[in-house]
Amino acid sequence: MNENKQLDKLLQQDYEHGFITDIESDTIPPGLSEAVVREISKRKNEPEFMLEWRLKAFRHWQTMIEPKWAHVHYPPIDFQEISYFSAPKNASDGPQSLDEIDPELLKTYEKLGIPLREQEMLAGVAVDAVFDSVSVATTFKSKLKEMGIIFCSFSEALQEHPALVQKYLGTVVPYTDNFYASLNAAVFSDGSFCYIPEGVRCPMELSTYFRINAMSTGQFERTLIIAEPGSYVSYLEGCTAPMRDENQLHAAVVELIAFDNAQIKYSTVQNWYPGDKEGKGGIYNFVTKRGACRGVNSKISWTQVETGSAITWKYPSVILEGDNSIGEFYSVALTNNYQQADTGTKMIHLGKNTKSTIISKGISAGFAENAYRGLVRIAKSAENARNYTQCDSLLMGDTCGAHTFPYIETKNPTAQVEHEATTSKISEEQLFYLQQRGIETDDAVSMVVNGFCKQVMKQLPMEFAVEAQKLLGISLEGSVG
Amino acid sequence: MIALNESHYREQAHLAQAKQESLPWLMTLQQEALEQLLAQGLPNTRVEDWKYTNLKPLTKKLFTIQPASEQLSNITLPANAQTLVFNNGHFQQSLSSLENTKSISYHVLSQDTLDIKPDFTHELDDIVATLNTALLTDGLILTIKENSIIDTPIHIYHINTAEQGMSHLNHHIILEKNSEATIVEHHLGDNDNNYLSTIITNVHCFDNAKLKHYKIQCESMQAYHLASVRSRLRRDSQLQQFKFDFGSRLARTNNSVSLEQTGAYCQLSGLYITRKQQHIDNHTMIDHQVANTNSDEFYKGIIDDRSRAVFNGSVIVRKDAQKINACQSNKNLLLSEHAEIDTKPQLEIYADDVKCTHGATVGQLDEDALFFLSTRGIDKETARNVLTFGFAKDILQSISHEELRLNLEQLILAQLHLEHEQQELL
Repeated sequence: MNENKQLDKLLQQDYEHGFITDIESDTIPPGLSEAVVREISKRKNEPEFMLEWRLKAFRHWQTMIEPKWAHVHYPPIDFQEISYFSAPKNASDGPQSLDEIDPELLKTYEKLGIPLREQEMLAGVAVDAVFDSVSVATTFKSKLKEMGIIFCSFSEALQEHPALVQKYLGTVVPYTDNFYASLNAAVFSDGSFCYIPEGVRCPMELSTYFRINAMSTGQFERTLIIAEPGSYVSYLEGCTAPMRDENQLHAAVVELIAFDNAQIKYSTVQNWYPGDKEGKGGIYNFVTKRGACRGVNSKISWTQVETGSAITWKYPSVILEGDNSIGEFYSVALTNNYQQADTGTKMIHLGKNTKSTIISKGISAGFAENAYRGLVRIAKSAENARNYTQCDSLLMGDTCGAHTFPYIETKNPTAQVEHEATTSKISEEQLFYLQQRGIETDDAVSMVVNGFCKQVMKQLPMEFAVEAQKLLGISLEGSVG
Repeated sequence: MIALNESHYREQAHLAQAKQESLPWLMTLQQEALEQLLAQGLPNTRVEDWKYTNLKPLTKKLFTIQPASEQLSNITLPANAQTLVFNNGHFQQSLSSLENTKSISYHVLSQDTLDIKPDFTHELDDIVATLNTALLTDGLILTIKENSIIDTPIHIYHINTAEQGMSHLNHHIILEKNSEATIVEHHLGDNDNNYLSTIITNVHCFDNAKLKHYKIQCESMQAYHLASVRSRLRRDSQLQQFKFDFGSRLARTNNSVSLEQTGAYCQLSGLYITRKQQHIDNHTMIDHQVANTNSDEFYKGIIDDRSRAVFNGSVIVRKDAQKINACQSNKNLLLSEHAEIDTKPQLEIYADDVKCTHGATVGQLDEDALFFLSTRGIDKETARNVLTFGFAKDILQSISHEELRLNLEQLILAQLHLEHEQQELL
């Protein structure tokens, strides 16, 4: 069958971004203890409050047990086997401009097609590139500085704006939140910090490319974005990782805070190494992402395209505290071979007239397991809250699984909550309809899959949408005459 | 876990076991269940399956097994009907009118000899069943013989009249090949009595059998009702199940259907109307084990006052179970600011050639519909009543048995406090 051929082609595609950059890393030996936490803090020359916070998190983490409720299976993780800090060696000198950066690194970025040098103006993207755990370069900073926007690495923010960090850090995801969030709070190495002052509309898409390198280094980033009243920011996060045979743990935390009339748009394309065709290797991606709509009329929108990682475990959430605030979640999750994804969102309605929209598209192929898990909670105080949820799953092949676990909790009678979900394969009728219009089966499959994801794809910023479609691995638009 | 009062439950279990002396295998199983129950205790709300339902209040009182009462004054049983009556968990021969015939046979666990051994293999799988088995008071094995078509419904009455009493029943309903029947389970209680009632219903539909299974739960508003319904469907058999929850302070039903052979089909309909401080929890699981099996599920709820309803519906499609159609829907009407609904429709799918959908909604009465009715000169309260009743009545549509449908309409009206408006509404 042609359809199968197309699928096979998609399924057999190798991971394009798999290569290891040979740079000496300044790595703390594997193991986790209070001394390691202190060492990380010391190496990063952090203020006292940060160390205190890390230690509190570490002590709390020691009392917790690894959660088991997700619909994923993996061998137990030995947290003492992981090295918790790794920085490219040259970085300690602190590069002043791009020219000072290790050329090996730049080559890596070039291979990935990241617009860092010449491309930066053309692409209009300020890139805060994280290579392993330390930010190497931050561009467009001066331009953003003029407007009062702070966009820098987390370490830099701790040095230059400690008061801001102290005020907001952990206010959305406290260090007690969950097992991996606590671990992250204790050992996080770096990340991005973004502050948009009152009334400022960030003129460009802010972007961070993460990339995991160096053997056995779990990467624990922390991102904090604060949008003051009336401001707007669109933030992009994209990921690639080199081919490796060992599972790598990745437990990031992202916190977003939106005040009155502020808007944050957070887009992710996640393409970490998913493991080979036998399910060997691949990244474990256990992420806590949460946004708080603190002010009236604020809005937080999550868009994600998840194609990588051996295991994805992530629920970008919005706490709708302010009246009339809006939360959105658009997601495409594609799992193939032995990948497992348990992803979804939480919308917590607290304020009056709060609205949330959830659109989730799961595509499962090979031996993969793809689960949507979502919570919509309408608190008693949330008068006239409104939620619409749609989660669709597409199955390709008879050895994969697609699951839906929505939790809906309503305590207010004026709320309107709708949830609908479908699971199906590409229907024979759809294919037949397209074929009888003279469209090849291959193209027809592409069209259907494209159509299936379109609702989410159109939410992505232009530059990202292109990459995301490429990542989905099916040539879509171009193939249709 | 929630610990149980060990000495009390040992004593009660001892009482229960004494009744089954003629069935040594059952006594052994009961003892095993008791040990498991005491070791495990009742699940607390940290257990995912019991996240929304707290069993703690159950342990606040020491319920005891009590004898059947002399007379059932408050309850009138229908005349000219085939009935089986259980009172306080014990079979009442004198009140039961069903007779063993060529096409129907029944046995009661507590009575004389039992020449068949019902399948008790799953009785320790979930906590409700473990509790039930440990304290089993009685049970029924009802068989509809091969090729028999029973037109008149068989009513099984469960009446609880003892304050602080408890009853634990385990029924097996077996439909042999090509048989058809309608079975109605009634659960009644003296109002405001506080008691515990657990019941397990095992349904076996063999090839090409058709069963209409009604479960009408009208326990006392202070009662605890824990139920497990397990249906197993063989080749080309059909199950139509109608489940109504009107009574109980706290009710939980684990309702599972296994579609074990091709051509099996089940349709689950449910309606819960909760008031005051009621807590009604419905867990359903439809397990498509093989290819070419279909299911439809349609649950509706009206939640008022300070009550809370929980719906958890899961649909599983096993590997290689291709060509499946599964449709699930749960709609809820939330009428009070203190009421709560927690719904969780879930799909677990391991095959690809399937069409599975589920939907869940929570809302209130449609403003437009209310406006439309008021433009027709209907006052606001009547308009609300018409719409609420219409919402509930929807579930009765596929009931073909006229008398049953009319009775259920009356029950719905009573539950919604609309008895007096019935002229206008019907």
